[in-house]
Amino acid sequence: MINGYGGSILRVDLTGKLIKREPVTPELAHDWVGGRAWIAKYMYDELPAGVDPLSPANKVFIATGPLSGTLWPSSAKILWGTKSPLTGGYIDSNMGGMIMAELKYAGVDMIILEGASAEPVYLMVDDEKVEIRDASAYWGMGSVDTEYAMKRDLGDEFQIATIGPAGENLVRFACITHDVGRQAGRGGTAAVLGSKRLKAIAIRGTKPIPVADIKGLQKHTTAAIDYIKNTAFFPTFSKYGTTDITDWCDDVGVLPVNNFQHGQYAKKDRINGKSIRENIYVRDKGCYACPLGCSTYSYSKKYGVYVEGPEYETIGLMGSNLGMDSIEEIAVLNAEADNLGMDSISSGSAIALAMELYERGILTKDDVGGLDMTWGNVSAARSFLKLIALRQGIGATFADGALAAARTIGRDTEKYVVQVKGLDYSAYDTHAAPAMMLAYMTSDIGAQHTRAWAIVQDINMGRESTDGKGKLVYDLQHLRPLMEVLGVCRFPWLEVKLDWENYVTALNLVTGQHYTTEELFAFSEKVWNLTRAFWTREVDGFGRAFDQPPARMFEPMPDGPTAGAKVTQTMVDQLLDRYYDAYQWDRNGLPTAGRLREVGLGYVADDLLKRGRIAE
Amino acid sequence: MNHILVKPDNCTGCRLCQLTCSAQNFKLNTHKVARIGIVPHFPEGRFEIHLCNQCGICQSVCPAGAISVDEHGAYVIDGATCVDCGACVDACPEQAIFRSFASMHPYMCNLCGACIDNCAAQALTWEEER
Repeated sequence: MINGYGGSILRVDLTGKLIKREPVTPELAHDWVGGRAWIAKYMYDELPAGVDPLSPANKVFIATGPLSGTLWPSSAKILWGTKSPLTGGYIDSNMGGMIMAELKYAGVDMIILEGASAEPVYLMVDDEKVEIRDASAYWGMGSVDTEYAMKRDLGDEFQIATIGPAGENLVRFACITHDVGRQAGRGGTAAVLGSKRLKAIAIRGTKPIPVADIKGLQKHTTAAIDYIKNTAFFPTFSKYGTTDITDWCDDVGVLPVNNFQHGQYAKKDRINGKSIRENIYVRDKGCYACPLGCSTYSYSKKYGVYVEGPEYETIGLMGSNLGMDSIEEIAVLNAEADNLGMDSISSGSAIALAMELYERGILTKDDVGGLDMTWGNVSAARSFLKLIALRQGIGATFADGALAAARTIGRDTEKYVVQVKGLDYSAYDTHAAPAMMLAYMTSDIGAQHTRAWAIVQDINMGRESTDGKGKLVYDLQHLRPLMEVLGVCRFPWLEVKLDWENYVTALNLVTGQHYTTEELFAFSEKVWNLTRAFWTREVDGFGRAFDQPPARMFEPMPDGPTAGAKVTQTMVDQLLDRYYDAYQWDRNGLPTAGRLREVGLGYVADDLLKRGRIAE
Repeated sequence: MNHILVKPDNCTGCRLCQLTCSAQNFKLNTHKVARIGIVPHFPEGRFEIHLCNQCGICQSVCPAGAISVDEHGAYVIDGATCVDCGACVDACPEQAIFRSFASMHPYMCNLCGACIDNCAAQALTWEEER
């Protein structure tokens, strides 16, 4: 028994239908802690170099951390990692809900999926009983529909994660869904499950998680919750959740509009958090052990659909960025993306690209299956989503992602795709936000805000300036990964300012170890170097050229509070130089062998040297 | 005498009450042995809260006379007298008497109040004498 851990790793070979249970060793627990760090390590160590993401040789790593499923506030994260079929590089995407606790109660900290089944299957983990079962009854069903159907068949006490038609059809930005509306959204993890014909994972466990000092943990938790519920931030964030930022983003001109061509939206009041409460709100919904309950569960009367959310990123990407009229239109698009099993961010980006190309006359009505892809046309957007999920007509082109679609279409359309490393921007325009842009440029999965969310500091520190921003992003990239190493949500820290040291205390109360912040930050640097090393190994010519912002940011913003603002190559180079300096990487942004050895990755240095990917 | 007031409309389904209850009463990290039940109903979107409201029906149906009221006003099942017939579990109109591996006999809320401290959504609050 190791405090904080379920105690085992399930290795599931879907080709041979073999299941092995490997122990979590004290060394793995102590030296690599869990969550994202385990994924980064296992992915580098176990994937054959250059593996095709949609081939049986790719693997999916589903990992919890030592705090996942514990009493500690918001300990509700599980991570899904694999080689991304969207970017060709490292991806891990985290999910909230309830399933992380259930997995640990079944005595499991990580599942490794290998091989591929010939026929549709699902994995059932019921304490010691683990089975690969026929899923033909569920194949073809929506993600959310499948969860309801499986709960009816197996029992409500099972926690279930599913893929939808998009995952089955290998849409490269398909997502995994759980607990009605919690997703591992980014990078196409569900397409990898689809390639393995794995429709779902159903889990039930009964064994409590061993905790070194449960009394101490309870006391520490109650003190943290007492702090949280008495902060000035709590009433607003628990009410509006992520959507609370919509008005602010509009005020400062970073709300994406019409594929990031503008930063302010005339219909902002029709799509913000307040409009959710007034029009579609059903109730607040919380993830496991979370006092914030930031999620909103909604029902659109206009379209007759339930949806969890919409969250801010979906409001941005499927709302203002598509010119949608109101929160009702966003709700129906969100609900349909969820049930088809598609990342609402990359789906929004793909539809926005199609709409822009249509408006520019590059794609004709015939090209897009007779749809009128004008800004704000919700019925066209809904149809387009379905074309993508089913890979029909033009949908097959966009199912590979917006960047791949532009490359297929040609005619210099790549410049309209707002992405880094093939992962579409989430909802913060960076025409005048250098730190946020640097965060997108250097995130180890592509343009995702959760790797380092610097937009507020950007505005506070002066948005024209790059001063101190390389270091800011470097620091955020050390704290943020730790949340996902431990298996907790970042929001109590980020949104209600629960001090980081509380997490270290919680970790030590749970594990009985004596981790320090200094030690954990050094560990974080090791993990960040390891994912960078994975990209370096997997992607030919990887380096500075892959850390560039999208072309759109070099066009001047035409209007709004950032009118005239644009990014210059000088600014980009300055940001990257300082950022690489902070990591002690070379001018091409590659970790040197010496630096890898210093952070405890000697074997990775040797491997990359042998492959000729880095210099001594 | 205190009672716990239940407001299901405020519940977010986070299970912190159950986690806290299990830690407080059984020193275990799980929501599955708690003296309170949370049952989600989706897609309609509501949570049922099952918690003893001290109605006393269990005491009246117990054939062994194993159920008494303690000094806090909580109903308590005496392990030595309980014959494990399950009559109280079946009769409880709130479905608030539980069985689990954490105890040999059924149990219900003991009014310790630990859950209330950790329910930030205020679905559980103290209510003075009704």
